[in-house]
Amino acid sequence: MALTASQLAVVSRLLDEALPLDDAARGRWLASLPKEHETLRPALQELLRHATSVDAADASADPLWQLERQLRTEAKIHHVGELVGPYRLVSERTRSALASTWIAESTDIGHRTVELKLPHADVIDAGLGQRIVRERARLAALGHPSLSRLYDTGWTEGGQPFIAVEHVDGTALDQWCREKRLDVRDRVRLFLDTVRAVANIHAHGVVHRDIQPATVVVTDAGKIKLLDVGLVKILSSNPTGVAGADPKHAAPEQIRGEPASFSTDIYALGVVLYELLGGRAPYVLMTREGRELEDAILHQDPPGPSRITKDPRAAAAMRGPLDAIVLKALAKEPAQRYETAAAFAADLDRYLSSQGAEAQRGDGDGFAGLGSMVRNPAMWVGVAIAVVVVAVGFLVW
Amino acid sequence: MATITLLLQRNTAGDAAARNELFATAYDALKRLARARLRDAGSDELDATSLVHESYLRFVNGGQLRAEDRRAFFSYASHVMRSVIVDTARERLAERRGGGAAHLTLTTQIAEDLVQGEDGILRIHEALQVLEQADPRLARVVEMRYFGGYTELEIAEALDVADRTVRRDCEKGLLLLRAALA
Repeated sequence: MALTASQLAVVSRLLDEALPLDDAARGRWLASLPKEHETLRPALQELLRHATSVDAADASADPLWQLERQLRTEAKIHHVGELVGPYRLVSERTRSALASTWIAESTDIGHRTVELKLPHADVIDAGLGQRIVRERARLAALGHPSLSRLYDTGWTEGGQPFIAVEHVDGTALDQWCREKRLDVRDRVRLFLDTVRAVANIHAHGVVHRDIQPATVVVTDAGKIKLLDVGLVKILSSNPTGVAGADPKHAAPEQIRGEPASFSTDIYALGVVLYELLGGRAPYVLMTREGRELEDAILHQDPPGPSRITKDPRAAAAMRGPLDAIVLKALAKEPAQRYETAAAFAADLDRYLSSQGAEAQRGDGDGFAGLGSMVRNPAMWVGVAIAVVVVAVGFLVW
Repeated sequence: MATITLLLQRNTAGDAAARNELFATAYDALKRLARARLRDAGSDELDATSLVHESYLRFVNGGQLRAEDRRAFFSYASHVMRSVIVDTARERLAERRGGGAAHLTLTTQIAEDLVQGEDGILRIHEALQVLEQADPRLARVVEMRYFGGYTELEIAEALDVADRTVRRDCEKGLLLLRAALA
């Protein structure tokens, strides 16, 4: 029934009449089609069969409608094989405080595999729709090869919002480093790619808010992919974003309830690097209580990673500039950290390119972002004393 | 060579020569990117969105395009992207007749919704030409959505209409395309 351009123009006009109608009214409309358009009836009938009701989707903007949907999806639990919008759930991947993440398959002809984020019922507030629309536009503009892409957002007929993102088959950064037994240099090199990816989203005005080893993955080709960029901002109306983020990677200002900023991401990167180099989190906790973690994040000064690694060769590679770089990113006050992710990356880059020469010269000159720390021997004495005090403290304990 | 920004402005002012030059400049950039992408990825999927966004970033970073002209560039780039995709599909078809050459897949919704492969891309292109005669505005929205790979929201922004309008246009445009294809 391939239509010509002039027939198509008529069909276009007729569809404007028929599309706003519901199914029953469309049937009546088709039956009473004027005589001159009768030849188009089979084509119209076929097209209307494919037409979904556009207006149903528009209701998502209405707050009352959202509230109703929220009540209807309360305590909703998803299952394998379930159809969510145009996606069929294949397997649940992770579940965070804000959303569950499923591997899903698009039911269109392409059967594309996506990662589907399904916000929990208690996350679905009146602002979620607006936040999705606002952030979607910002995130769509990012398009960098190191970022997992946002494909699609929407609401199902049942009121479940969904966010479809690129499915990245990869290994969490920390796991990758362990499995491949990467040395300090290679770890720093991979981490540098991560910092550059973060610098890229910052350049577009986007704060990640949830940087941790699980959201930085390495693909089989050895390339870094940053996952869930900006997702916490969509899912949580809380400007600190800490409710959704892993508290282990929360920055002091987030604990204090201040809004997340670019500097918050730099701190979280510092925690990731610390774990990659030192083999454990920066803070040692005696209990599993959240209060103790918060207290440590606010007040405990972690030792340089070279002091805690069990590998003496690695410790030698980290001592000096690399320790200082990590601790600068982890500074309690945002103003004491790297001003930008790009500056952070520059110092890591300098570390990588000057490492050999540096060991011979025996100084750390040239690390612009580090200020006087590296160049001031008195300060190193202070750091050493502090480390001894901490070590003694542990022994006594 | 004039900057993209200047060309866009002259094009908006109705300068036909600027339109041709604009097309040629953007076409080359997108074509190079598309080829590099197909080669690097070792895959046969062309992702229109990332190509257009990437070319936009390159033009901006290269100082050829002002960020303020983003809107005009994006609506224009969809048209260019369509040409690149259609030309690539034609080349692939010709190569395959000579043997070899893998299938090209377009990772936008339209390929999934309607038909796949080079034949599919070319048929969609022809159907879109019919739609352009019947309803130029709808054809433009469909082109941006399916060949440019933009979200409905981005199209709404570029054309300065409500995203609800774009959603309607996309739905209807796809229906009409289906009619022209069948």
